[in-house]
Amino acid sequence: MSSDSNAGIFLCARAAIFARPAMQSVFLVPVVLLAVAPSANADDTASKLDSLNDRVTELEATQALHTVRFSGVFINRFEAFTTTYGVPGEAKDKDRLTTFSTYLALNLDFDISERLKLYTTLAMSKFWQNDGRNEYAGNWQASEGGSFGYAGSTPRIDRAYLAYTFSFPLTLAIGRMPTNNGVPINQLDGLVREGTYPRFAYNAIFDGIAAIFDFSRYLPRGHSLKFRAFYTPNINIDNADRTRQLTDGTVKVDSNTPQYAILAEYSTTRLSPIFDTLSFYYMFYQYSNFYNAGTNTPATPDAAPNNPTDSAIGNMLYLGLEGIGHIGLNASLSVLLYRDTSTTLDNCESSTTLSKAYLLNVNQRLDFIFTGSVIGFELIKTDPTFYLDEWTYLTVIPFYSSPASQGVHVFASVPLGAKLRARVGWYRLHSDPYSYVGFSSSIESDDNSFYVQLRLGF
Amino acid sequence: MRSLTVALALGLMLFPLPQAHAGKVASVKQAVKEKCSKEIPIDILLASVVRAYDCQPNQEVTIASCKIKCLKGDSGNVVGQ
Repeated sequence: MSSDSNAGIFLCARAAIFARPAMQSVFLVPVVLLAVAPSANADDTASKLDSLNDRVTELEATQALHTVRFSGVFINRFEAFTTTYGVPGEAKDKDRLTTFSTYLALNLDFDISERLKLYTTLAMSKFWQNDGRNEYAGNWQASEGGSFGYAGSTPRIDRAYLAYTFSFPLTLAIGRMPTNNGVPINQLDGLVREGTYPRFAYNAIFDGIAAIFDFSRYLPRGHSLKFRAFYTPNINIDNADRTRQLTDGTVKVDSNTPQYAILAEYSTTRLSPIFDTLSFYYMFYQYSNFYNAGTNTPATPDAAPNNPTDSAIGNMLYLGLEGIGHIGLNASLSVLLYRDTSTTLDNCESSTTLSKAYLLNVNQRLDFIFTGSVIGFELIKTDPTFYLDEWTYLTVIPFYSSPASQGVHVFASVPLGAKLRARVGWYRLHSDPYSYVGFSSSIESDDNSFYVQLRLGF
Repeated sequence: MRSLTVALALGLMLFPLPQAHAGKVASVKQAVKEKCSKEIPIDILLASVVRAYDCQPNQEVTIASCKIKCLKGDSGNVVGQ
């Protein structure tokens, strides 16, 4: 072997050492194969190979132990919100809020083994120079809202769940799960799906157990079918003494009230003449005897209870079409059909309400003008009895959770480099008075909100 | 020493070292093949792995003149994904 060849081997070896780990092993084999050819200075080459082997082994050992993945989201928002509100026919009041806020979420994901993974998120949201707010009336709201309540710079754990994937199509998960920020929230920024439950079923964080069945491998290529089942019970317990039941007047509240959800998801990419992707989700959820803490202050002992319990059934449908006509046009329709029976704790009063609500999202990717940019709009219409567990949102305006409302949201989003994205948008929402057991308002309101958001995903 | 080197080479061929990014190179190769029906050379493939993964999910990444979707995962955003 010539000295040129030896130099080539050495350079190649150095390339393998200094290259990204992905390349090291791939480079090593040809390096060694070249090295075994006859050589005038075989000892020298062998010595270099020994050194090379030690160094590559060291790197691979380090890589094998490196089982933590780090990522995050950092959002800064400006929002100018105005609301005009009052009893119909009477003089109206007006509030103006001009806010700046920051949200940070740090994800640490641990690959315990090939099949066992632990996902965690530490996050906070705050208005600037403002700390210590508390906008949650009940413990359950604080749990479902996590870090999204603009409480201040104290971080909260929004995600902590363990997932084990079997060799057959089943994944089991337990812990505090990312059931918030579901479709179509991601499409506002042209991103992939960012949460498990569709936003119009729940936009809240739930703790519990999940089983996910993925039958996609048994279907023809381009088709996907998954079933996700969740058990997320609500735990009621005395705020000060963990050995005591929660008490509201004369009634002791059940410590464990059940809550279930099943999400069926079908999607296909085999409609290529019409769309890139069609997604259809159906979600059923149910909870029973849910103690609605925070609606009112619990009654004093021996008095009649103050807070109701709710038993509800929800049916949520999501139809999403992506890449309509292959021009980057996306559209989705979310429909929530909800039935709630609200009962006072002493069973003296009961009322059943039915409601329906619609959310339409249409957006157009403008890759032909500026890669990654998106413009679009959303329309919402909700019944007077509409209710949505919407606790993990960063807007000031309660656009997605107001009963008896009609609204529009227009937005435009542009990437600023590979990981930074700016979005500007405007919301308008009109809400009429509503009344049903547990919640009522004689106020009508007209809300407007303009916002600018800068989002870093890394 | 020569025999040791030969043994090492044979050993590496028969029992290859575990690759740090096992599966990622194949994923990039597969994505390009599916999207553009083309095979790309190993050197370009190796140089493209970082680009295909160090990106925003859903973003398009150009690998050997072929635009594929970013292959980065979602960090557990969807339970059981």
